[in-house]
Amino acid sequence: MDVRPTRRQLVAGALSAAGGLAAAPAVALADTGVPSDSDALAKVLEAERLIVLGYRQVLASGTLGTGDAAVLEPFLAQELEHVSTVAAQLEALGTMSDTSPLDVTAGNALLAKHHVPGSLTDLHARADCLKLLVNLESVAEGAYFTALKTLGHADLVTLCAQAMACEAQHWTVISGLRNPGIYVKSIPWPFVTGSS
Amino acid sequence: MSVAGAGLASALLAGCGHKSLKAQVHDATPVLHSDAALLNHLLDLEHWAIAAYTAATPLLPAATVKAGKLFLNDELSHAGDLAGLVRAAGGKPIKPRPSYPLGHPRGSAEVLGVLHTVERALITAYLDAIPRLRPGTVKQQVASIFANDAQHLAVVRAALHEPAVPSAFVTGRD
Repeated sequence: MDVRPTRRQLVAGALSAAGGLAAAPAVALADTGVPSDSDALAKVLEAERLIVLGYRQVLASGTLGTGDAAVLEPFLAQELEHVSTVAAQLEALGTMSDTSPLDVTAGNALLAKHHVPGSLTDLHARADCLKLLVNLESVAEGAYFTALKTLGHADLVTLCAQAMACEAQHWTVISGLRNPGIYVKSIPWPFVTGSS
Repeated sequence: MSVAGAGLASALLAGCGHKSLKAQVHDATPVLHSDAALLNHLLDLEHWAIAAYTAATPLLPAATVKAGKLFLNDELSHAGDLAGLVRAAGGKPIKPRPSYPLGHPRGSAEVLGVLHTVERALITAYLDAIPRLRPGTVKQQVASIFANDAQHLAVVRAALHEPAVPSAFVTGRD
């Protein structure tokens, strides 16, 4: 039996020895059809840029009271932190990413892609706004949940689990704004998987 | 505050009676035998959470009693799911302890404080476990529980008049 390493194994070993973050897992997975860590994070970043746009549109809509806005503005800041952190991890993996704000046309196309009803511009009532944000939080949860299946690097797994949990907390708080005191609407299931 | 964990929690688990849809779906998930101990550790903590919610819920402020009951049901579901994973790994699910030290909280704020402590401990344990579990589908399943416990933590924090979501990354340290 030939036990010499393949060229792919040699490349993976060299990358691993060089200490490249998750570079070896990405190469090792290339033969299996499993998304690389970069692929998985790129999809997460797409969802995060969409939700940032969603929060900005909602906060600019003029339909929310000051109490709602005071709750949601810190969530936007946290989503921006997710964007910058995920982008930094992608860069560490050797993938440059676009973190610039999405325009509304691109955002609406992503809404359709993720089967989210409504629009980023038809935000004429508080209920429209909160419903949109809940749906977008589900998309973000789902993006992290999907990534967790294939991510190879332990630090990235932890990071995505932590951010997914944060999105779940946003989901709960916003659902609480929609349905005050009705906890079963804020946490309807014992498992969080988001939407795909 | 204490509770006879084994009897009460077992009865509640038996009363729960059903296996979650998620657990059924994941029955086919291969779980590594080497992960059985780690999963059992999480199950042990979930038993603690069940005991805490069982003891604390009647003492909660009226406005949050429903939340306590809901979260108790969630923890029961988590325990059932984790027990299924332990079995799938070829292990034997750990049973609830005879009792749990829950302190002697006075007043609703201290009762909420106990739940805060328990949920934070769960969060920390899940975060330690998730990257170590294999394969990815098991990571996902356990992360889905972890995120639900993070939701509980947000509600408990809000009831304590603290920011519900203090950080962009849930750590269990808040």
